[in-house]
Amino acid sequence: MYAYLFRRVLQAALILLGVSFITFTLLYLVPADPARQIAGRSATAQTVENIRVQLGLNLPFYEQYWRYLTSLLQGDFGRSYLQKSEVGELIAARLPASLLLMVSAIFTELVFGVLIGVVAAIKRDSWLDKVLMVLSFIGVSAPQFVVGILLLYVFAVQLQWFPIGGYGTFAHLVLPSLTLGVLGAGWYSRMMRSSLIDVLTQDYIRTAKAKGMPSVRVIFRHALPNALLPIIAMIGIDIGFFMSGIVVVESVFGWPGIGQLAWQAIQRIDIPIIMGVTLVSACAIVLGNLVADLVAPFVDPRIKLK
Amino acid sequence: MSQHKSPILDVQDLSISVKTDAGEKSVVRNFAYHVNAQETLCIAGESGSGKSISSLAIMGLLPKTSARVSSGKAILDGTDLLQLPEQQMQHIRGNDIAMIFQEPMTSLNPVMTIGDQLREVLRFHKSMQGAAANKHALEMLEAVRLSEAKKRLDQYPHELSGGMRQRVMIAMSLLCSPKVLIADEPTTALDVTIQAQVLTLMKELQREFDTGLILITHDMGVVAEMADRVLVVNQGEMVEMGDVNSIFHAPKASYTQKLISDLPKLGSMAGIEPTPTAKVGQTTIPVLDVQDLTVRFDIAGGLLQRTIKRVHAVEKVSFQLQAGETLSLVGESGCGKSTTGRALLNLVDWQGRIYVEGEDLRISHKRNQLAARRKIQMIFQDPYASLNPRKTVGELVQEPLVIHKIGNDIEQKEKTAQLFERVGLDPIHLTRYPHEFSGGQRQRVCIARALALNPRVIVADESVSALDVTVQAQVLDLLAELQDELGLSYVFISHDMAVVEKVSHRVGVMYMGQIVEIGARDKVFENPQHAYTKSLLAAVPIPDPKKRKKRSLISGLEIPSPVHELSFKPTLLKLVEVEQNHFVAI
Repeated sequence: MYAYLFRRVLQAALILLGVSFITFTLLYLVPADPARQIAGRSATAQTVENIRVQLGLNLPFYEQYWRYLTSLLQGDFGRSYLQKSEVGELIAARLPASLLLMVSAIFTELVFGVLIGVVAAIKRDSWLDKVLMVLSFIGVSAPQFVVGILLLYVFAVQLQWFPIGGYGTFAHLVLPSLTLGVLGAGWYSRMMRSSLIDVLTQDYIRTAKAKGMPSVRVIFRHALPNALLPIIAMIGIDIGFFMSGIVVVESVFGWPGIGQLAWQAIQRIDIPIIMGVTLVSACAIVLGNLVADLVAPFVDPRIKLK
Repeated sequence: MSQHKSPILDVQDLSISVKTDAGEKSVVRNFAYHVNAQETLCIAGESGSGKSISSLAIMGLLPKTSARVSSGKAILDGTDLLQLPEQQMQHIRGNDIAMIFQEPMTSLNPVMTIGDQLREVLRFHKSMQGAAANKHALEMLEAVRLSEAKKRLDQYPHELSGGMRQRVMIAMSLLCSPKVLIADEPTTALDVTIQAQVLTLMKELQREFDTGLILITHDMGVVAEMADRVLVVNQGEMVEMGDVNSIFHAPKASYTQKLISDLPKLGSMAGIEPTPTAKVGQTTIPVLDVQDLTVRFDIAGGLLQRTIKRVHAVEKVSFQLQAGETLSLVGESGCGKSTTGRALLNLVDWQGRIYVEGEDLRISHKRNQLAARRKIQMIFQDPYASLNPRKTVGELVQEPLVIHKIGNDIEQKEKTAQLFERVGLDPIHLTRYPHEFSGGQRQRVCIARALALNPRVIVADESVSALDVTVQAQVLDLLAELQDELGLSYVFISHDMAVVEKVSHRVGVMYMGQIVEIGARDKVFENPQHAYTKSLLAAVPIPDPKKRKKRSLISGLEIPSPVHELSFKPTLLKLVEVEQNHFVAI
C-alpha cells in the first residue's frame, strides 16, 4: 500500500515536470512579446528592452526554464507581470472558490447522472428511457457557454430565481454548478445505464432474485455497487474536463476562481499566472485520479492496489 | 426410500415459448412431472432440451421480455406458483423453493461478503436479525462442510475457490429449509473430485432437510449417481420418465437408448491394448519430444514492480509422442495441463527443450517463426469463442493458408473446400458466419482450420468438453478417422476421464505442474499406482445406478496454490518404471 502510494507520488512528480516543460515551451513559442504588453503601446524600444532584461526574457530558453523550475521547487511560482503580486498568493486567494464550484458540480453530475441512468436502465426501451437518453445526449453535445447563457437567460433574467453572477451565497452557486455538471450528467447517465443493464444480466443478480430478494434490494444493494465502478474511475478523469470547463463557466458567471484568473492572464500573456494555474490544475487532475484509484478497492474488494 | 408421500411440487402441462425474430417459438411442450419429499428427480437432456428454462419458469425467473409460460401449472402446497403475483412469489423463492446454478464463479455477488449474502436471506424470509442470523448462517456453512466457516463469513467470493463457492451457494439455498431445491447443473463447472464431494454433500443434506431435489444435468454419470427417478427430455419434449434403474438398464425410447450408448464410460476399454496407427516403416524419431518443460509466471509487486512471487505452472515435464499416437494429459484445474499445451504452441514463455520431428523448436522459432508453427496446431475448448464472429467460416479456415502464403487464392479456396468436406461439413456453407452453426459444427470448423497447414501434431485442449454427448461422440470419431488417415498425433488435454480412456494410447496424469503417472492407457486406467490417479478415477461418476459408490463426506480437499516465493525450490518427482511402459512418481 505505502509502496503503491510512493510510486504514484513519484509518477505524479514526473507528470508535473512534463506539464511544466510543455506549457513553458508553448508559451515561449507564442508569437507575442510579454515585454511589449507590459510596457504598453507608446513605450520606446529601450523601455521594452529594459523590461525584457529585468524579467530575464532575453535569456536563452533552457536558462529561462531552469530559473523557473528552480524557484518553483522552492515553492515560488514567480510574480505576475501585470498584477504586481505573487502568483502563489493570487492562486491561493482564488482556489477555494474554484474548488467549491468543482465539488458542487461533481455532486450535481453524480446525482443527476446516476439517477437518470438508473431510471433509464430499469425502464429500458420504454418512452421514458428514450426521452431521458435524448436529454442526456443534448447535455453531452451542448457547448458549455451555450448552456451557461441559456440557464442565465431563463433562470436569472426571465424567472429571476437566481442572481445573474457573482459569488457568496448558495443561490450564486446553483447556475454555475448546473452548467458545469450538465455535460458530466449526460456522460454519467449514459454510462450508468449501459453499466447497470450489463450488471442486471449477471448470474449473481439471478441468484439474488432466486433468493427472493425484493426488486428494490436487487437493484440498489446487488446491482448498483457493481455498476458504479466505471463511474468512479470516470470522476478522476472528469476533474480534467472541469479544469477546462471552469475557464469558460467562471467567465460567464463572473465567478472569482482560478478559471477567471487564467482567462485574464491568457488575454495579457501573463506567463507566470498561466504557468501557475496550469500546474495547479495538473495537480488537481493527478490527485483526482489518485483518489479515484484509492476509493475503488472499497467499492470492489477484488481490486488490489499494487 | 419407500415412504414417499404425496408430491410436494407438481408440474402439470407446462409449456413455454420464447420470442424470436421469426415470431414465437415453443421451447417447452407439455412437461409434467412431480417430486416428493426426500426424493431426487433428475431432468436429463442435452442443450436446447428445455430442461433449464422449465425450472426457471417454476421459479418465476423467466426473462419477462423474451419468454412466457403459455400454459400449465406448478403446484406447491396447493398454490399454483405460475399464477402468483411477483410480490407473493418473492416470499416463496429462496424460502419454500430454492435454486442453485451452474456457474459458482459468477453466481455470488463479488462486492458483498459471504456473510451479507447469507444473512439477507434470513432477514427477508425469517425476519432474523444480527447475532441470530449470523449464528444460523455459520451453522449452515458448517453443515456444508466449508472449512474455516467462521472466517468465510467476512470473506468475499473471489477469495474462495469454485468448489467452496458452490458450497456457499448450497448453504444459501438451504438456509430456510426449502421444500424443493432445484439444482441446475450444480457440478458441471467443477473438477471431478470436487464434484464427487458436492454430490455427496447434496445427498446428505437432502436427507437431513427433508427436501425434494430436482437435479438438472446433461451428465448421465451424475444422473446414475443421484437420481431416484429420471425424466429424459429432448428438444422441448418429454421423452421418457421412470425409475433410475429402468432408464439405464431398460430404456424404452430410442433417444434414451442413444443417449446411454453414446455415453463415454469409464472402463469401456478395459482389456483392450492401445495400438497406435503408426505406419509401418516409419522412423522411430518421436514426432514430439518434450524434455524438462518448465513454465513459470512472474507476479510483480513492491516499489519497483519487481518479481516478488512466481506461479509454478509446469515443472520439468517430459514426454514423447510418436506418429499416429494420442497422448492425453489429465488432471484438475490448475494442474498445468493447459499451460503445457500452450507452451507447445509457443503461446507462453517456456524453458526446457521441445523437439518436433527432431528439430529444436526454440532454434527453429528463432530462425523462422512462421514455418516453425506449421507442424503443431491447436483446437480450443470453446467453439463459440474461438471463431471470429465477423468472418465467414470459409475465411477462417483459409486464413492459416493466407498467413503462411501457401498457394494463390484459388488454390487456397479449393483446399478450404476440401478441408470442409473432410470434416463433414458442406462446402456450400463456406460463406456463412460462425453463429449460423451449432456447437458441434463449429468445432468441426476449428478442426478444419487446424488441419489447413498439414500439421504433425494437434493439441486439443478440452476440445469436446463443451459439446453434448451425442455430438461429442461424432467429433471424437472424426478425430480418430483423421488420425488413421493422416497419421496425426494428438496431445489431448481433458478433465473427463471417460473420454480420455476412449481416445488415448497413452495417458499422463498431472498434479501441481508435474506428471505423477504416465504410461499406456490400459496400464494407467486398470492398474493406477499413484494415489492421485486413484482418487481421480474413483471420483468419476459411473453411469450405472447399480454401481453407486459409497462415499464418505470429506470437507473441501483443495489443490494447494502453485504461487511460491522466489526462493522456492520445487521438489521434483522422480518417475520410476513400475512395469513396461508405465511410469509412476515416487
